[in-house]
Amino acid sequence: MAEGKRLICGGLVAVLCGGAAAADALCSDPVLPAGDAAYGAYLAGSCRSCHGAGDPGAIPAIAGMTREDFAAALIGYRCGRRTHAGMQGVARSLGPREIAALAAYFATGAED
Amino acid sequence: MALNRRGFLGAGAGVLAAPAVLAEGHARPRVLVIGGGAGGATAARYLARDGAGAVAVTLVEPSRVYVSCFFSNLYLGGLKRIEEIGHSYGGLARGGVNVVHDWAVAVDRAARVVTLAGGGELGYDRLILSPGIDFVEGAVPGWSLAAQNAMPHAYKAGSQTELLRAQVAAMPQGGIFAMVAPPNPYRCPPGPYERVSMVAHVLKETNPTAKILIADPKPKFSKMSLFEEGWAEHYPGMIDWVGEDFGGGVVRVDPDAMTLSIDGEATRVDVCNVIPAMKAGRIAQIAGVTEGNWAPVHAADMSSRVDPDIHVLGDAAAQGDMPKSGFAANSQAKVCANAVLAALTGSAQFPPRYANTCWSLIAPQDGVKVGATYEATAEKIARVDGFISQPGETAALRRETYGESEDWYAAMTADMFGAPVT
Repeated sequence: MAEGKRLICGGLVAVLCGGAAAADALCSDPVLPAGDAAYGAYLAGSCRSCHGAGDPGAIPAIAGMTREDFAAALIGYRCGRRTHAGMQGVARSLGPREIAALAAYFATGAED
Repeated sequence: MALNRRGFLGAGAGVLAAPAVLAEGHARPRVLVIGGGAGGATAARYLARDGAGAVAVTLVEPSRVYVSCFFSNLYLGGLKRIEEIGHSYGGLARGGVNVVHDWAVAVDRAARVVTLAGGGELGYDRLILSPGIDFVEGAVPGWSLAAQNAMPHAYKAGSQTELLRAQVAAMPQGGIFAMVAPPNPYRCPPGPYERVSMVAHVLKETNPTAKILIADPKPKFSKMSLFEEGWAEHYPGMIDWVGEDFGGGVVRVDPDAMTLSIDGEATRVDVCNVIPAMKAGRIAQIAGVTEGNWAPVHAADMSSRVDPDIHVLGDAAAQGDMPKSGFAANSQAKVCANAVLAALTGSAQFPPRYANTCWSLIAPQDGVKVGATYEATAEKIARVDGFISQPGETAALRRETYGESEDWYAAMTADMFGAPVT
């Protein structure tokens, strides 16, 4: 969880927040800005096209993920530590602000 | 609208409550959505849900039950029941969408009023057209609307799809299933070839000496190497594809004689699935927002390049690089709904995001996919980053890919219609 706590800003470790982490830096030094849950609610629309509320099958459910797990998964896809062609493309299309926003939104439990 | 349109609020700014800007003379701004498919149903649902009552949302859709074109080939292959690809509009109605089952037949853009076939009129502040496709008249010589019982298109799912399945089941042993494939651009680029795969699956089980003949005006098609590999593996010798080079685009049909002529050579066939060239659903043309066969839109918010009060979603739109797919329409609808709410209520407008994935089934458990992410430019929705299944993948990976498509179908239809009313 030590790494996980470093991933997320706002609320958890606010001292790390506020800097705009460069996209490339996410892989070596994953520091995220504070997450705007309202922006995350909008972005989550893209997730809902595939990630449903049903039992996890080939596409896992993502509702209820913690901020740490959510951000770590997306950064993992972005940096190639997780492999799935579709999700890697999705993760590359998201900047630090978007990943933080999504993580903040899913942590609200609104999708549970 | 510049005064009430709010730009994207950066992180940290939060979302400020903005006073609703009411349309003149109306209690709430009115959004009228025409067409209840992947674009229109999604747009209506997101407007009602995210607007939380701040806008009045009406959906005009003639069908009482939506039968999805996506997965309709799996029904043809005997892998789904028709009920499994049918969806009620009850969930949308419960969610606050005023669902009107009627045809829109006229659009008065100056007065911002839409006339319905049943005689009613509906005013709007924003109009969202998501009418899907219609066929280009005369595109396949010999074929017309009057011939669609003898030679079904089955490219608007429902009774046509059921008819085609029945015709395949009634084929004589060793008979011929023919397809006239459409020219680009058209709905669901891999769709005709997934259909051939599913028909071949049925014939392999029930009628193994039958043949499939495809007349195609194109020199190549979506996922071609994947389909050709799969056809050779699962259905060797059954499928004959005649492309542009061999006259596949020079066709004529005779629905009475049940013949298909390719480059002047007539063949008597037992089933003839004619998928003509396509254009935007007719209401887009009636509204005067088409140029040629399609309706050009701005990539930022799917608004018409002809009328800023009209948005066009899905197959009907000329938007750039996205394929005409249900997934794409669903993606576009969320961008559009966010932009329309922002314009009408002052809520936050966020940057457009577009993505697409098209799964196809070559044989049971042998799934493949192609997909991409996109960005909005001033010119178009531009492809950024894509992926496609590869020839020679393991059976386990193909099963996983098919499993993804099943999960996507459940998620996507829930995203369109909300939870069913039980």
